[in-house]
Amino acid sequence: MSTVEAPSLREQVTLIDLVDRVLNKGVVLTGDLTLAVADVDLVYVGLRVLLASVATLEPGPEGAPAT
Amino acid sequence: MIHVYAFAEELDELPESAGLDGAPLERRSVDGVTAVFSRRAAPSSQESLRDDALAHGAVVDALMERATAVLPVRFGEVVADEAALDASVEARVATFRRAFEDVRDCVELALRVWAAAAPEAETPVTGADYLGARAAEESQRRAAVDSLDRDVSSLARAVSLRGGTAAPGELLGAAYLVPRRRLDDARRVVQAFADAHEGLTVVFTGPWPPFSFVEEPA
Repeated sequence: MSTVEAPSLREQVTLIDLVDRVLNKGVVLTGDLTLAVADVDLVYVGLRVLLASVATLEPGPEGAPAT
Repeated sequence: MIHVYAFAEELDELPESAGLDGAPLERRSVDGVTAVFSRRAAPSSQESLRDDALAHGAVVDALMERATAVLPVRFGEVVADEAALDASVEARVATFRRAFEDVRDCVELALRVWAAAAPEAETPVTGADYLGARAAEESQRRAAVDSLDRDVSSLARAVSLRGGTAAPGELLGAAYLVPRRRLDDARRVVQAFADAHEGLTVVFTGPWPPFSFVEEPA
């Protein structure tokens, strides 16, 4: 992940929406998940932090954070 | 083990990209339901989980262009072998066909709205005036967001409010199953709302495969 340029608000929310869908939604085949719940939780902790930070940003004219 | 990405209806060709761990994508059909899968030696490690989940999403996304309907499978679902995969599909063929019907020609759009920033009072006001103004503003926002939700819902075949990860102060977090031909209409409605409400942050993502609209009722 590059630190040269902050990803736009929209890109960050897109990442969150994607992970939300892939890990949490969709057809459940067997219910025998190979994922460790703790590992999924780790991904989610990161997402919640990211979302809390983007939620406080005000988008500029092109959806980029204003400050 | 076999990692399953999605079930597809009338899939023409597999995407050229590889699946997880670089394994080739494979397909297998039972009664018109095509499972798309790849083989893995072991499940994702903690370090690779996020990248693998994104790669799973990319495969499902690529299938959306190549089939009349796609039912995304939640990341991490595996079966032991082909026989187990076939058995699992055979037991649910009728359910999958109904689900194809539900999502055919549709994509999922996700919409979030939250208050952008606390408004600054321009002139000093009393505490009571301030609270009254805040309450009025809050109820105006609610009404505006409800009306946006109704407008987008009117273009959608289904709506899911089953939340994902919510932003603090999120006023709306919803997913809409929208026919492709109405995608531009939905975008216009949301853009017009965003233009008219500068105090609100509006983020519309997608089109997504219909992840939020394929779960069977419990």
